Amino acid sequence: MGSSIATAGYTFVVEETKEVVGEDLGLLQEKLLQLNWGVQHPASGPMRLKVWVDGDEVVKVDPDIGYVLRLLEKLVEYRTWINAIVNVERACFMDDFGTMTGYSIAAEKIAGVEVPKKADYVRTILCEGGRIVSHLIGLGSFVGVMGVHTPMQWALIAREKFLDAFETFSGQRIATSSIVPGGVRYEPTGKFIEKMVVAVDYLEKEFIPRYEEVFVDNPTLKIRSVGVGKVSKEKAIEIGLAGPALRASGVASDIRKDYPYAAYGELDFKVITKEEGDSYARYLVIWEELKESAKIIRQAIEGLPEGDYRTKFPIKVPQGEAYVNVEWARGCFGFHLVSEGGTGPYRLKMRAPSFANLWAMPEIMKNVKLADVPVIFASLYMCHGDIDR
Amino acid sequence: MEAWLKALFFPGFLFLLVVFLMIFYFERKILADVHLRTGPYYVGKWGILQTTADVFKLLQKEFIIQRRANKLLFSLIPFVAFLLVVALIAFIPFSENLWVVSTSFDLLIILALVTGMPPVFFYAGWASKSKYSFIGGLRVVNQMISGEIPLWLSALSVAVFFGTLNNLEIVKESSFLSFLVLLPAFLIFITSTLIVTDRPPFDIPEAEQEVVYGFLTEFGGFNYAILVLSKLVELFALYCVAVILFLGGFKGPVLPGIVWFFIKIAFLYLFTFVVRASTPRIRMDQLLRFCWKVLTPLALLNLAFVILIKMFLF
Amino acid sequence: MLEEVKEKVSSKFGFQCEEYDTNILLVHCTKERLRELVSYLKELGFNYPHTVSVVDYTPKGNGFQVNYVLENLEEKNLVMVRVELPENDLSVPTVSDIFPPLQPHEREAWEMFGIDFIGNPRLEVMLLPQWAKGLFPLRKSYDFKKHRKPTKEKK
Repeated sequence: MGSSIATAGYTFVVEETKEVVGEDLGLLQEKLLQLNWGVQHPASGPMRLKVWVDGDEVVKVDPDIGYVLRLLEKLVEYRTWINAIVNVERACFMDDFGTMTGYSIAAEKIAGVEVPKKADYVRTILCEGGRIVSHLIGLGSFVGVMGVHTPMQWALIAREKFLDAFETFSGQRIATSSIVPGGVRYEPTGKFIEKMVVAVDYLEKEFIPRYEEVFVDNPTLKIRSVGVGKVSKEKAIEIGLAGPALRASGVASDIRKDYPYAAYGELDFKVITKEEGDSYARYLVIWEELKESAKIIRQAIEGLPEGDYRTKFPIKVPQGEAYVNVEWARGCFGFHLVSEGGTGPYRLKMRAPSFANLWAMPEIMKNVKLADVPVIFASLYMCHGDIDR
Repeated sequence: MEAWLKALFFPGFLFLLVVFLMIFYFERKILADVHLRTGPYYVGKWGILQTTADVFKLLQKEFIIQRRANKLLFSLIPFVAFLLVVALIAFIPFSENLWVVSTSFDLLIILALVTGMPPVFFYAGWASKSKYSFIGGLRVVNQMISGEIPLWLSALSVAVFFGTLNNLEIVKESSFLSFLVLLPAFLIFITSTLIVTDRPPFDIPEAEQEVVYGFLTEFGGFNYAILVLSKLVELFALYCVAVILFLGGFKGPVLPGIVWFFIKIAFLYLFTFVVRASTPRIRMDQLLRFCWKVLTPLALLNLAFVILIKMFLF
Repeated sequence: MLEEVKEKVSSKFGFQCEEYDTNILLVHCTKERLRELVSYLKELGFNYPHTVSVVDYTPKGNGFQVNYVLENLEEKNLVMVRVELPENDLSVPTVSDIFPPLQPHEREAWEMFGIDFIGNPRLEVMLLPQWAKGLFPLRKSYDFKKHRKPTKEKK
């Protein structure tokens, strides 16, 4: 069976035990040079990419992950149903609301708990807030890998306003633990709504025009990213890309639209797709989703119903299981939650979109230049916490 | 003043150090302004001593040599590089009587010294015996050599136009008309200056996200400070040359010559910083294509244009 | 749409199918015909694989359960293929040549649960450190305390 994979055109790196040692590190003698792009590298984050280069051309790429493994799936089994959100949200700190929402919906499905409508709307507002926060950092780091740190600084200023709103809501800026099975943990006060409106106003009136003027349609940015890491529609599905990367290849796959959860079924928004499938298209998808999210937040705030924000969630949940997908900032996040009638989850499998994107990356990074490696890596929009879990 | 006193104090070494601390400071302040940050703030008035503090921090650092590295070259190279580029400053007339040396081959010597830099930086990368340093060293040679041709050609057009290689004479003969005629050469010169001194958007040899810090990866502390300083001096010297060749040097009304000189330099630096804050880095192959297919032919055409003007109009 | 798939699968393979959730169909499969079923599902349009999820039911004496989740991007529905493995025979044929994206997922399931995916070209530790190979930390029998690294004693 191994040979059939090779004939299908896929290369899985099977072993690379040969280490270059000695005085001269194999410089000039070896035609292929193995570069360790990470763990100690300015742009890699806590992971290692083994990059084999032939001159300036990348021959082969192999990710080495596991540097931030926390085994969240195991830790969840030692928690109660409510406490488990603390582990679930730590999949990635950029957008913790998406993961908490997914887990809560799965738990509610097993327990048969109906969530009040207000909680659904607050979840939507928080999820989109989290998506904006995550996308801002995604935009900043994409341009950041080309040596310009301005977008990141601008994005962080806009992000700050959203973090302020989260702080008013839950008392925490990043790890909020605010969405639990059975609703949301806190009353969405007027002050929170006010701060959220301030943040969205800042985003729409100041950040977006300023950013659009300089870093969208930037000619040098286009030189660097148009046509780099191109993935066709068929190829994108075949190698299993997820999230913005999949949509940039022309596949309209958005869980919010396809399998509506929370309040997304009642709101009006569109799924952003691009046909080109290159790094620049992926960047534009993130950019346009950011604008779309701001609109969703406005709609959800307008339509926020009165009523309870939380119902009672049973301590012991009956036997059962559920598979729930949510559209997280970085793609479709799947939760396979199993209950055996205990006070906590029996098993939770998290399907991480960044994990899928990471292992699709070696296919995309064939025959590119060394300088394209960070560009493609950043355009696939991955989170290391999410890859390792 | 004696020549060696000049070299040591006024247009020379100490003066340069102060100028660089100020340039560093302004770079950080302007970048911070574009970033919507505050920038240096706490050390000294308006944070003006922050850069000095940073340099002293670098000087206190431990002197680390990698076990594999070529120890002699590794510790020698930063000083060689620094001496090479500091010699450039001696030929710059900051005002009518503020210069260390003035010969009839000023321009030639400056360009020759600039051409001497790539091997030095390459050896800096090679002596580190590290993969990223080595790649950075290769890239620096690749980039500088392709950038130097248009640099030479555009500087040559000035020499042809004025018929001299002496900096002082060039400044004296320059006028508004000469500025207009040499405008294309000026643009080519500035672009290739950015390429030769690997400033953004051409900072390919030290592209952080690709090759860590290029040939500077293994350097630390004092060695690092000196190497970075020599790169900055190179940029400063080339900007001085640009001001002398194209912008009329120290000429200007009312204010003393040296003030005009530094105002012009400041404009060039402002341009550099704004470009740095808004333009992504381009790729090596794109840069080479740009240098050899666009910049060099343009520089040649410009040279022909200047020669024609010289033949028929003057 | 899932009704059709349900009929087709149960008539062609005779597997028991049930509705798992709205939009999700659960197919109870045997490991001998797993590859056949998965390639058939791929032909039916379930071309986007989500994950391989393993559940450890050994405390109840039910062995392991391997779930393959596949999505149909056109019709917007999912199918979950379930294979039950007895505790003493933890091997299942790989589907990584039919769905290449599932290769790392299988690899993860192998290192966390010790399930042998026969034919997977790259079963080696990925997330765990090299010394933890063969510990299978997500199994229910894994004892946290036993494998805890000794901490420095305070003096």
